Amino acid sequence: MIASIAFSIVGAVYLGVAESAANAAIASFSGTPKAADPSFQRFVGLMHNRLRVASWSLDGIEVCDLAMDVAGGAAFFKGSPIERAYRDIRGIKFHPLTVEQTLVHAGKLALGQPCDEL
Amino acid sequence: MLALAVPTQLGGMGATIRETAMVMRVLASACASTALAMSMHQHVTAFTAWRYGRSMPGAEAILRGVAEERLVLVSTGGGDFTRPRGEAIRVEGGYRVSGHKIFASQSPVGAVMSTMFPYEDPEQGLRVLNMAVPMADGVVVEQNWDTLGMRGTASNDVRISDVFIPDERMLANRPTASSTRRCR
Repeated sequence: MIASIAFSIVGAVYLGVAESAANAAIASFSGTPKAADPSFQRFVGLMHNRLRVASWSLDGIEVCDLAMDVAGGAAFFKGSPIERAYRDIRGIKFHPLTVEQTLVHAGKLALGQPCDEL
Repeated sequence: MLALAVPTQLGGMGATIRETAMVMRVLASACASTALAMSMHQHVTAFTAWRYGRSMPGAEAILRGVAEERLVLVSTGGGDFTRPRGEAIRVEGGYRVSGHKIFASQSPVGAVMSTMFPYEDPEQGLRVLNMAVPMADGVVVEQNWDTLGMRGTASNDVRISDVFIPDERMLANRPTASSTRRCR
């Protein structure tokens, strides 16, 4: 119980970070000629797709990496919200459970195995 | 905001775990560090509210402290959750605890720290004890949080030296990974 409460509340922080990076990247190009470019559209689509599956996983890191790619050089500067999200999202790796532990735990739940040792 | 997940009958806003998570998500889109530090307070508060709902000891006093005195709760991280650092020694009426804790977000302004210690129980074997440790005598916050990201969380190291924690400040007592590794 302690685990499911903590992970859902802390995980939501990283989801919010990834969302803000993706939104900032999209906002910088909406209404510009580049927004009509199919290869650019695919890039943004990929980022959006990763955001949809990102929650308690490393997918948030991928979203922020893509946001920096989408936004381009301006996102490399200090003061850019994407630059900050790119750094902040990396904290996700240092929270329990790790990705491997999460997968094992999810497998146990699906198989009806005891998960008390969390 | 501190009393977000405190039940309304104790002066809080009564947010569910899901609602609390949604607030953290919105907060994080504005400032990741603020949200992460706040989430560490919120998850301890939400767990304490869950314990209060089951009439478990000590929960009400902490929740009232959050709602009325605006206490900031600190939790610890790293491998603490699965393999806590430190030691707990059983004494009359409680435990004496020591340990070096890491990733203690907002520790410079915290009032109480929810943290864990391993304890070798003579009957139950190795246990993980979760306790509420006041940020007072015997607890030292270091100023070492200089990191790549989440820089505003002030998640400094905290050293706890031989502090007495009475039984009523126990939050949970659970088995460790090693003691139940074989799924029954």
